This record gives sequence, structure tokens and C-alpha cells, in this order.
Amino acid sequence: MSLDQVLLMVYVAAPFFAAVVPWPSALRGGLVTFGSAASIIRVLALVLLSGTVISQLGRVSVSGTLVNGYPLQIILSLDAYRYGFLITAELCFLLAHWMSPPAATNGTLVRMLISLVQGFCALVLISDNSVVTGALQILSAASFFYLVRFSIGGDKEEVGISISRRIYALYFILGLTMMAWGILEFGHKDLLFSKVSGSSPGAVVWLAMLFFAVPIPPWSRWFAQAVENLPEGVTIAIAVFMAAVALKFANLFGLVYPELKGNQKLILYVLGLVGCAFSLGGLFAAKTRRKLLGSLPGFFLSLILVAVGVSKSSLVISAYFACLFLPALTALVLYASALKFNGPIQKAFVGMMIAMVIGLPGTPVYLIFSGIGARALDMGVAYSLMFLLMWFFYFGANVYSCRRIFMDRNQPEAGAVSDLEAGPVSFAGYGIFLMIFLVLVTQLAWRVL
Amino acid sequence: MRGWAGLIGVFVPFLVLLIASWGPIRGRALWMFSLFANLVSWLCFVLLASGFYLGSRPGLITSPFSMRASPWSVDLFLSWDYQSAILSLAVSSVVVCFHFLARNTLEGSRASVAGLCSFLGCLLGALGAGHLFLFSIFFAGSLVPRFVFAGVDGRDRTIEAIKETAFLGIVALFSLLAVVLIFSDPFKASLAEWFHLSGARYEVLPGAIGFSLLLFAAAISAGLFPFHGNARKNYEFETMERAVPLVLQSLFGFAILFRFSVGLFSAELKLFSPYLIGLFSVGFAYCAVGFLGSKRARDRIFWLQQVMNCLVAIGFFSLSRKGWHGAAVLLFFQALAVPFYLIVLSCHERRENLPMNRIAEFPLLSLSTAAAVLFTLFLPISVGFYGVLLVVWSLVAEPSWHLPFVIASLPIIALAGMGSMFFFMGERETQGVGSRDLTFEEVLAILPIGALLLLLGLLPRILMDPMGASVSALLKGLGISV
Repeated sequence: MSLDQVLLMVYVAAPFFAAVVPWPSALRGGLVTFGSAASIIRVLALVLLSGTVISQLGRVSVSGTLVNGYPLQIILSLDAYRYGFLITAELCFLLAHWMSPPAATNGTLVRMLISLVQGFCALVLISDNSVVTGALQILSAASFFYLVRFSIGGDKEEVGISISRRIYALYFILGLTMMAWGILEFGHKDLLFSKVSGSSPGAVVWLAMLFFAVPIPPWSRWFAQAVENLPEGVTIAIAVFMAAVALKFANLFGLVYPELKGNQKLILYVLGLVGCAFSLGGLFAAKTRRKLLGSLPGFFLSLILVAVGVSKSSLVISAYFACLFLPALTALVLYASALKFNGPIQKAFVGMMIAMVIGLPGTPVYLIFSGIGARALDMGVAYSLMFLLMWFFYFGANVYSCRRIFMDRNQPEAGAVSDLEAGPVSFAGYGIFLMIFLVLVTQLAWRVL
Repeated sequence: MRGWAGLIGVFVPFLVLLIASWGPIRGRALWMFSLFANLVSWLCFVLLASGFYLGSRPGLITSPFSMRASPWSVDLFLSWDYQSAILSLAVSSVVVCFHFLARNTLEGSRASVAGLCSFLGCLLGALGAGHLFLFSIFFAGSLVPRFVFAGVDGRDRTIEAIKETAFLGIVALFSLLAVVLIFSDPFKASLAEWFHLSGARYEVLPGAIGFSLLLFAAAISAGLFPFHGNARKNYEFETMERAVPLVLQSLFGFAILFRFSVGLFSAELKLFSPYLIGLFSVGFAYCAVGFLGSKRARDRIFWLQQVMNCLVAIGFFSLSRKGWHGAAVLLFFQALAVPFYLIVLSCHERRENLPMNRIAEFPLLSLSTAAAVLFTLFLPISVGFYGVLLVVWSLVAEPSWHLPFVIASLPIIALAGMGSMFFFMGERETQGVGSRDLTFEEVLAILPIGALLLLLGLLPRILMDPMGASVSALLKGLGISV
């Protein structure tokens, strides 16, 4: 086993170790917990792997056989495409650990479960076997069920039960479907994701999976409820996982069905636009700052469908940037919704966040819209008009948000769930770092991929 | 040596029956003796099962003692393939753990100790029986101890249920004996002449009747759909404690299918298996809906066991390597996971419901509850997941009308499973202890099975590789290419 493979194994195992080892009481709060230490170790492991994965554009793989006689193998591989997302996701998970106060309901248990879903999140993305990927989604479903269920109590218990049921059902059924789809499409070979020639019923199943993997409004109100009601750390964990699953499915477009029919893509495009419209509608109707800002992740989730709907090449770069941006955006808006603008770092944070969200050149939002816009221009007047409308409403929604938060006399209430002031780090400072890092990763990905 | 180990493992529990019947040893001393004897039996089966991992990996381990008696020309002996050896080990493990769970019950009742150990001995003997006649003896032997063990705690309506179950057991025994006396060697050849009418266009006593009788006996003794009402009685006890060993009853039925139906009625098996897959596919959907509609933890585990039973049957009748492999894995999984769930449920019934906001204060109970639920729901941390995967995969290879029933039932089970995941298991009115974590004895009852299930879930090769080889050998014997 080479050093790179050892590093990949360390990367994979660290959060599971943090999740199963009992945490001593001295390490349950503060900057260094087992969970945050696992995140830092994972970031370091990824940094050490960058030589192979980024500089040489190579791939690091490890594999193991589950059962002999059948193609049931765990094959984990890391390439540049996955690397960019995972390193951003790790930094978001680190924030999720820090944003989960130990004094909250079942505080330590919640942090341990965040570590568990952190482990599954990466595995789902880097797993190449369809049945194993489905199985990992099922395990994630159970982990999220308990994570949501334990993190919320008191008046909001019913909401917690409802969200936990929905998230469990969604990812369990997605996992089952993924396994069935994998057996149907690749069962005669090795169950590994590979190109399928011609159009098959499997393409329809894949379209359905992609649609359900992206919980867009108005069908998936649970996600809006989660953003509004769950503790910040838990919501970030959900957003990162959703982005990872969406990226996985979007990636399969190029890998398995690069010759998807035009009308199938049109369905995705229309559904994505509907999701965008409802997200922005939710933003305009929001009463609290958290709900107002919390509509933005839903918009970017919908953009993933739009991006796949207009895509041409095997690499859906706009969807990739949307998935890259989504976890960080969720983390940033959750903090921004609870922020008091009482210091220079906080003000700098808000300024940078507005620049990011509006989409100044160089930012991920700029790249997402430029990618979709360029393709829309290629596809004709109708697509171009729809894109312009979407962009106009998005821009208008951002202006509206800024006016409501900074200029209105009756500013919306904050709506924070956890006591973020008790956090072990300056979230504003970390948020600024995260934004700069995200821009760097995006630029790097733009050039490398 | 391993053959001797298997033989000793089967008959050591009967020693406890003798000691308990004798009288002077009772209470704690009897419990300790019973525990010791069962540990010896367990060790014997560990030694037996190790034979399939070490050395030349034999296909069959045969006991040195055989009962050659007229009119049987063949040796009647105990023999174990990998599947039966590992099932015996699972059964033995459950009974050892049960001793820790039910120490007070067993110390207070000699009849319970005697009933438990002789039931175990008969079950182990039946799993190792190399001939249907020998199996029938052990099966007949299990009926009385089962009745005694279940009946000691029987109250009012429960005792009626136990009587009914015992009666059905006798019916199954008669079916088995009919098969032994008409359709198996050495009677098969001579009695066939009795029913052979000269000039008749059809065989008067076709193998289909024998196969039906065997199937009937298997269905009754396994509590298999549509005869599942019989198995339901195990879940009507005052406490769930006694149900733990009794749910292993279903292994009798599946032992009949796996070990004897293939040899005796291979032609009929091939002929009727498509219809039987259809029957059990419908049964699978029916049990999934039953699971969805269950309100109590007892009902949920009952329907889950039925779901497992149907999947085992589907896998068995698929007559394919994947199906048989999956069915064999699921059968082993069932022998551990269902008792494990019941042990945890018994612990819950001794307490008040766990308060959700203080769940971290009861780490052992919470962890074991979550593990029991997630294992029985076939999550990929359990070896049952691989069993289900292989059974369903075997159907996908040759899709038929029954496939939608199976496919549609899987999400139903997933959704219904949510009802079990909320930690509210003890619906029974609690008389006593309030909320507290597991005691040391309860940990001893839960930890070994839970750890074994988790280990096999994470490293399924340990179990599945030798089981796959064993299944391939059996199918080759049936003339089915693998």
C-alpha cells in the first residue's frame, strides 16, 4: 500500500473513529473535540494528497472485497473533480462541529453523529460501486434520522420528527433505487459506474433519482423547515451531504448517460426553473432573517437541475460549482442570520458575503451563471429569455434581502437556533477564510477540470 | 475429533434435563450448571465450525456415532455442512446469552431450565440430522419441552395459544412421519408397489403429495406464510423473555427444506418452485404491509421475522446460487437478529420508556436499541443486508410477475421501520424500576450477539465465503449449474 493510499484510508477512517470512540468530558466542547480533530486530520490528509491528485492530475484508489464470488467490492477513488468538493466540505464540517454547542440538547451525541455523517458523505462521493454507493446512502439515512431526532426537542419536537422521517425516507429510498438501478444497468458486469450504450429505462430511473436527490421547493418543504428550525451545525451537515449526493448524481450524467435525450434534459431544466421560482418566492415572503437567507440554498439546489438540463459536455461544470458553493453558502447564511454587526470583522464578513452571493466576477456564483448563460445562448432564444428572467429575479432577490436586513426600519428578527456567540472560534473570521478559500478552489477547478 | 465435538454439543444440554429432573440441584446451582453445560455445547460447536475454516475445509463433518437399525439399511448419523454447523453455533450462542437475561426466571423454575435445555438439544440434533427419520425424532422430542417451557409462564388465554401451537406441532410431526414412512428410503420402494395399480394411466401416489406433506410440515414448524398465525403465539407471553429461545423454532422448518426436500423431491422442487416463489412474494408483500400497520414493538418484530421467513423461502425456491446463498445467510441472520431484538425488547419491558432528551444518560440501552432495530431492518451494517441483496438479485436475473411484489415491499419495510427507530419499545405497563441503563447481566446477554452481528456486518466474507461454497456444492448435487 502506497503512502497516498494510506492517507486516503486515514481520510476515510478518521470521522468513524471520532464517532465511535467515547469522548472524554474535557474534549466535548471548545476548539478541539474528537470531531473537529478528525476534520482537521482529513483536511491535512487531503492537502498531502494534493500532489498526486491536483499537480499530477492522478487518481488515488483503495479497494476491498466484501463478498467473494460477486462483484461486491468497495472501490474508493479520489480524483481532482472530487477533491475540490471534499476539501471544501471538510472545512464546512469543521464549522458544523464548532457551531454545535455541547450545552444544546444531546450536544455531544449530536457532534458524534455529525462525525458519522461526515464519514458517509465522503464515502458516497468517492465510491465507484453502484450497490455500495446505495448502501452508503441507506446508512446515511439512518444516521441523519438519529442526528435530526436527537438535535431538536421541546416545542420543536414535532418538526424534528417530521424532518427526521422525511430525510430518512428520502435517502433510504434513494439508496434502494440506486442499488436496483446499479444491478439493472451494471449487474451483468462489475457493478461499477460506466457508460451505458443507447437509451435505456435506467436513464429514466437516473433522472428520477437526480430529481429526488435535490430537494427543491415546492415538493421538499422539509429542507426549508430544516434550515429554519434545526441547529446550525446539523443543517450544515445536511446541506453538505445533499450537495455531495447531488454532485454524485450530476456526475453520473457524464459518466453513464452522456447521450441523454433532449426532452429528458428539458424536464430537468423545467423542474429546476420551477424550484428556483419557488425558492425566490419563499425569500420574498420570509418573515425572519433566517428564513429569508435560508431560501438561497434551495435556489442553488434548483440550479443544479437547471445546469444539468442545459449541459452539453460530459462534465457539468455549472452543477459542480453549485454543489461546491452550496455547503459553504448554507454555513454562511446560517451565521449571517444570527449575526450582530458590532465589529469590523463582522462587517467585513457581511460585505464579502454580499459580494459572493451577488456573484462578482471570479466568485462561484459568477461561474455558475456564466456557465448556464453561455449554454442558454447556444440553445436558443427561449432558453436565453428564461435565463435572463431567472438571473434578474435572483439579482432582485439579493437587493431585496440587503434592503430588508440593512435598511428597513422593521428589520426581520434573527431566528438563530443555537447560541453562536458561545462558539469556540470567531465565526466571522472563519467565514471570511472560507469564502476566500472557496474562490481559490473555484478558480483552480475552473482551470484544472 | 470435530465429529465428536458436534455429537457432544448436541447431547450435553440433555444432561441438564437429567440433573433438573433429579431434584437436589436447584436454584442458582442449577442455573450455573445449565450455563456451564450450554457453554460446553457452544464451545463444541465453535470447534465444529472451525473445521470449515481450517485445514482442508471439508464439505461435511460426520459424527462418529451412527444408529444402524433395521429396517434402515443406511446409517442414521448426525452430520453437519457449513450451514447447519454455523446455525447450531448461532442457536447455542443465543441460549447461552439467554441464561444471563433470564437468570431469575431460570433460578426459580426447574421446569423452565429442563424445558429450555432439552428444546435446545432437540433443535441442535435436528439441525445436524442426516436423515429425515432422525430429524423427526428430534422434532418430536422438541414438542414436549417446548410446551413445558412456554406453558410454565402461561396465563389465561396464553395457555390456550400454547396448546394450539403444540397441537399444530403434532400435525407437522404426522406429516413428517408420513413422508418418512412412504417417500423415503427404505420404504419408498416397497410401499410404492402397494399403490401401483396395474394398467393405471397415472401414478397413484405421486411425489407431489409427498412434497406437499413435507412442505406443510416445514410451513407449520417454521410458522411460514400462510401459516404464520401459529408463530404469532410466541409473541403473546406476559413478558418477551421466554419468546427468545422459542423464536428459534422456525429453524426446524427451514432445516426440512434445505436438508431434505432437495434429496427426496428434487423433481417436484424444480416443478413447483416458480409457483412457490409467487406465493412467498405475495406473502412478502403481505408481511411488509403487516409490518407497516403494526403499532407495538412485539408486532413489529413478529412481522419482521415473517418478512425474513418469506425472503428465505423466496431465495430457496429460486433454485439459484444467489438465491440459496442469500437465503442461507438470512436464515443465520434471523437466528441471531430476532432473538437479539427480543432480548433488547425484554430489557425495555423491565423499564419505563426512554426519555428522548436524556437518551445520552443511558448509553448502553440506547446503543443496543439502535443496533437491534438497525440490524433487523437489514441496514448495510448487518449481514442480513447481503442476504436480502442476493435474494432480490436472484429474482432480477429472471424477472417475472412476482418481482414487483418484492420490489414494492422493500420501501414499505424501510418506511415502516421508522416506527421502530424512536426508542419507544416498552409498551407494557411498567411495574417498577423506572429509567436506568442496562445491568451487567443484561450486557452479558446483549453484547456477544450484538458484537457478532456487527462483526459479520462489517466483514461479511467471514460468513459468506464458506457459505457460498457450501451452497454451490448443494446445488451441484441437485444438478443445477452454478
